[in-house]
Amino acid sequence: MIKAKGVHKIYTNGAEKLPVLKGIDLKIEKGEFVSVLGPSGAGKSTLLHILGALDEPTQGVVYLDGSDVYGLTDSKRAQARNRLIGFVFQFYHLLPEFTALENVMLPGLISSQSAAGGPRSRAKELLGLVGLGARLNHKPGQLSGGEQQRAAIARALVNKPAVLLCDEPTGNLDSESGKGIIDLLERVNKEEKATLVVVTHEAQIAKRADRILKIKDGRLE
Amino acid sequence: MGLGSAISGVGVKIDNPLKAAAIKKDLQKALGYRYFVRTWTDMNRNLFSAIKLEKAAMFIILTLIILVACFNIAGTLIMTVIEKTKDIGILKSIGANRSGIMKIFVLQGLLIGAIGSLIGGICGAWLAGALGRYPIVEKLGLQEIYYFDRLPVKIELMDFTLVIGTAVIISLLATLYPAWKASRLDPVEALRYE
Repeated sequence: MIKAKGVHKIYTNGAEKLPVLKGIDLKIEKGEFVSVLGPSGAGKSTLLHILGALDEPTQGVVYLDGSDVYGLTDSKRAQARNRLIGFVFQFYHLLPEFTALENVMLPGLISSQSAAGGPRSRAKELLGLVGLGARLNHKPGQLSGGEQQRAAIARALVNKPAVLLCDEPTGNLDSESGKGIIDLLERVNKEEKATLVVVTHEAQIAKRADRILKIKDGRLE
Repeated sequence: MGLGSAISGVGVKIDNPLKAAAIKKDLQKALGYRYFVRTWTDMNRNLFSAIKLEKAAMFIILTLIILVACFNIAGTLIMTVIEKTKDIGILKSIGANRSGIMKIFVLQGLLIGAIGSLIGGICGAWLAGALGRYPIVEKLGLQEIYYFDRLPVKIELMDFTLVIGTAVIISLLATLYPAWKASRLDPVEALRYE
């Protein structure tokens, strides 16, 4: 499903060069639950962004579902992000002016090929699935952290993505809400057969995965 | 002047003053070179060239006003783009492409421009109409200088649509740079923006 070969990422700040990823090779099978474990600053988030067609690597190739994502045009890559990938971020990243339902509908509205019944019914169904069926019309500011993250997961799932990429999904939550989120992600992985990649610095969470990839100083161990 | 009962000139009153130039031509032809025919515009040449100059000055002033308004639209949109940096990053992460992001800001700027032009156009037309009805010259006590009590106003539909259309097009142009800037934002940088 996901294949990365010789991925390097170097950030340049004027004349200063900061290598974050130093040659990553990995392969993640369809339907697998993989966690990427490492201390902060190891390059976990950068790797996730690169795998998710969001950040172009300085060197190396990434294949998503068999196609070289960074060889695509910008609009094709955006389409791949919309249809193949669902992102879940540490800080939820919901749009504050929209209700939970509207936020969840957004990826469906962006893609021209919307799910049967339209994005609204799919969004309602998903919000019900994540336990927010009664809070459809609440804005993010009126939801707790755990609820916002549930809404963000529902948004990630609205276009039935093949891959779910989660960047410290529990990093901003108390341990109980965090556990609930990981349970939910695991369920999505099993029931919707979505490939799940979770980036975390907590060994406890990483252990739930089928496979753990340890990253340190920009290299996989 | 010692001319006795001799006549030095004859005034001709015509129905349509705008046809004066054509009538002058005919008269001149009929009278021959010994007579000199002058229309009302020839006799008030200085006044008309002053009015022409005034029109040019007004055009320059209005262009500057529209330019300032455009910078205002562009400035507002640039601020919105900065404010919405994170939201742009979110939209990109869920699959919005560059042209989609650009459309959002062009549409916003266009709405501001269109609503503003329409309100301005309606207010302007109303004000011009009111100016035509209200005896402003008389109220200001200038009737003895100008010979009439109100300002003559003529609202031309063509001018009206041209002004509004130009304002909308200029506001559309003002949106292009901020919208292009927004579409080029790096999504990862944008998501980090607080």
